[in-house]
Amino acid sequence: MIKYSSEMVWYSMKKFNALILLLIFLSISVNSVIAAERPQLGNIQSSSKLLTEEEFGFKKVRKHYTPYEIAVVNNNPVPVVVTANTSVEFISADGTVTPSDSRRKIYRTGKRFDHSKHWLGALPWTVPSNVRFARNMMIEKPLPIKFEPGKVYHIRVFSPINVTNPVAVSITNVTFDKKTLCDIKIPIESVEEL
Amino acid sequence: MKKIFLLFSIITVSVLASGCNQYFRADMVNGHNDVYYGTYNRRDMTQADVKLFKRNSTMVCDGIMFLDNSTRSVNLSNKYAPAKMVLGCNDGTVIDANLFMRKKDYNKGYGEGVDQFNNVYKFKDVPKSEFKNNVKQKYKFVSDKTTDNYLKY
Repeated sequence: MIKYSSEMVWYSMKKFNALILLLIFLSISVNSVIAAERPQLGNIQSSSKLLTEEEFGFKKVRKHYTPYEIAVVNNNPVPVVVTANTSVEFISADGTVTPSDSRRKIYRTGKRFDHSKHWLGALPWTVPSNVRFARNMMIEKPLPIKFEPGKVYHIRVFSPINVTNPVAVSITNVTFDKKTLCDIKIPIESVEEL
Repeated sequence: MKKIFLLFSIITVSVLASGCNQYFRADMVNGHNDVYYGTYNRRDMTQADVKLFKRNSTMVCDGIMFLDNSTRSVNLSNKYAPAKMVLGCNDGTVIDANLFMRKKDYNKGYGEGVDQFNNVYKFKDVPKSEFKNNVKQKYKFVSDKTTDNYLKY
């Protein structure tokens, strides 16, 4: 009978561990390759502009976010749909990608203090600008759930203030056949000051 | 007299401070005849957090509802104010619904929604007991602080 000494067990464990480590590294590298090669959706016509203070004048929002308005036209013959994992990302000149905050967080940071929620005696008309801001975000120009062919969609996006001069906006995880996930990349024209 | 006044004030404060969940039901109109049960909790006068469950399934949706009431106050009128609801589900579905909510208390309403694969949903309010009989799982509304919430746009 062969007796397994502790040394032998350790030796076999070492081999086993090495194999597992190798597998983990392989899987990570494969994943990163897939992430890097996420396809761009073609046949998309787009434009973007920075919103001025006259067009979007909520001061507290402007402290934390830079508002942009993008226009997207889908020139493919089939509609492009968003998924629940769709998000908006901002790409700066050196290649760093910053995801957009969720609409909940943007509303929370951008809204003004609501007295009627916290104190009993507050008057009902305290913060009407919150209504205008929420309507601006939710009803006027939101991200649609579907890009029909040949129709113009205006979308309002909010870049965090720490992203300086974003080069492009990308709408991630959109699909047209329920299988492949693609990105829509929209370049932002640089604003030259006169 | 003092004690009665104190009791009255405590009861008033507790009623005003506690938020009540409201419940609704959604029926898929075309084809599948799936039934969904949902609940929402008003965060302030403009927005509410929403959770939706498919009956006999693990499908769960999260989202927000925007109450487009220009006066922003509970003004005891029986009129209905428009509301917009967007939900993202864990199977990838996104539901976009236009609702009408009663201004008085926001606990009655009706409306229609559509998802990105052209399925139509009809919404209506239900009593709490119907929701409790059909949804057994525990739930928690998605908070602002969680980073991996749905609808990141």
